[in-house]
Amino acid sequence: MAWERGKQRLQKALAGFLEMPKDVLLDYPKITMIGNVQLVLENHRGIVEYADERIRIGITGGQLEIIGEQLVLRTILPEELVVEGRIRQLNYSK
Amino acid sequence: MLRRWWSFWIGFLGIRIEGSQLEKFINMAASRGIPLYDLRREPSGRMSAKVRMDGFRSLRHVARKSGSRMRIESRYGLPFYASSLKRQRSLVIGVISFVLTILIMSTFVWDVEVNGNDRVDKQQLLQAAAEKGIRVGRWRPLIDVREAEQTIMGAVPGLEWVGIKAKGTRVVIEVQEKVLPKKPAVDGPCNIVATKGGVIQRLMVLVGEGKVAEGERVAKDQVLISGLIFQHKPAIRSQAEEKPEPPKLLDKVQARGEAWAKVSYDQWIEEPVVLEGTVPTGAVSEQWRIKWGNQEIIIKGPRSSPYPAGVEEVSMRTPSLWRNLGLPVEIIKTEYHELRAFRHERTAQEAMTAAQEKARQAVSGLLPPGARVLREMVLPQPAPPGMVKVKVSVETLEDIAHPQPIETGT
Repeated sequence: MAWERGKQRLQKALAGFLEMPKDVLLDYPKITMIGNVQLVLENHRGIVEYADERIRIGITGGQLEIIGEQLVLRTILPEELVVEGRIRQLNYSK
Repeated sequence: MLRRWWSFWIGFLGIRIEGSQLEKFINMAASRGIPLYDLRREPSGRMSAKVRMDGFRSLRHVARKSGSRMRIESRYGLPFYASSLKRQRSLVIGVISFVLTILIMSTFVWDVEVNGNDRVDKQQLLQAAAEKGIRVGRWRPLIDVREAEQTIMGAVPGLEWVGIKAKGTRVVIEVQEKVLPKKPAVDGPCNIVATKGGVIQRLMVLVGEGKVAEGERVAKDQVLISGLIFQHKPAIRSQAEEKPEPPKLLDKVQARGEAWAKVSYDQWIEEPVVLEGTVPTGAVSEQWRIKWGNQEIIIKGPRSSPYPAGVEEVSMRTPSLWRNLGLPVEIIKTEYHELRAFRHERTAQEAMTAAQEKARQAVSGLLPPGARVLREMVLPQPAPPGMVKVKVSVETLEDIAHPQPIETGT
């Protein structure tokens, strides 16, 4: 566990030093939103909860909660997913 | 977009999934690389989705593992359309035979065209081409274009070059004719006469006998070079004989030669000092009509000319259906051009210059090629008020020789 934390710290330091995008080195999700109608999430860790008004998606280091209306999972691929609908809120949680 | 297009060709299914662990179902499908589209949550533990046809088989396995039930709701895409078409066999046969007929028919020659012939007879060319297989109704791959070109060159006289091009169902035979040497303007013996009156400056006799001296004034149609050759009689004998007998005609020839003469032209030109007239303003309005039999309908544009003064330009066209099949309808386009009156005040001097220019142009229209202007004189003449009048005299050096056949019997 300690070793794991040390590795993460090194990676963070390396990312800052090399000025590389964090999603490449650290497995962070990359979220692209078009207005409030479309959300593209790269690097997800699976769906945790899926309902019409609330979608929770696993990401590195926690969960991403999308709250809105008439949410549709347009596409789901191993690395990427697209959510469409009227998005009102995005929450990050541990 | 591209993915959707691809899905259409492969075919995709609309499915409905029922179960308590729908999230697990989605995650398992995603991690196995089965793409799901348009997932929509429905009330009471149900969900609809779309999946490509090739992913459905493995999805069944996922459903069993996640403890959910799955049902196909709808089918989209080409494979399903194709299977429904199987039942309408005659329609498919019709489509295929239509395409085949077009393809087969387009390999035949439907039209043979000849271009560039002026003196050579078109029928003769077509006949020579038909012998080599270039005729309507012939299968195109059987035609040897190079050989046909050679054959036509050999069969039809007076050709310089033959090129055959096949454009779809149309074969175009392009020919270039030989340029033959110029024939003399007049057949048989002839005299050279003057086209205009003038003073001969230089007479060059190539064939025949010169009848005028250089420096002599000749009238129009006077014989300059005679084509009749007479025997010269010695001067002594003519004195001795009482009755001069007519000289003996030796030969009739086709006289040739050049006769350069000074010719003068006089032109009187009257020109008003103030110019009045109309010019187009550039404003144009179009009217389109359709004519069917005796009836005419205006489809676009004004009923009549919208300008107080103007000219109209009418052009007609007949729409054609295909080749020479036409419709009994004419489309008539009328363009109304607006005209504006103008008045251009000039001084007498300007009017004079304009008149001179007009006279010069009138003379140059009368000159034969090769003529040279020697002298030009402008004399103002008395004119009525508001007008100017000039006399322009131009003296030119030009060839006034012109062949004229000798009448038979002389």
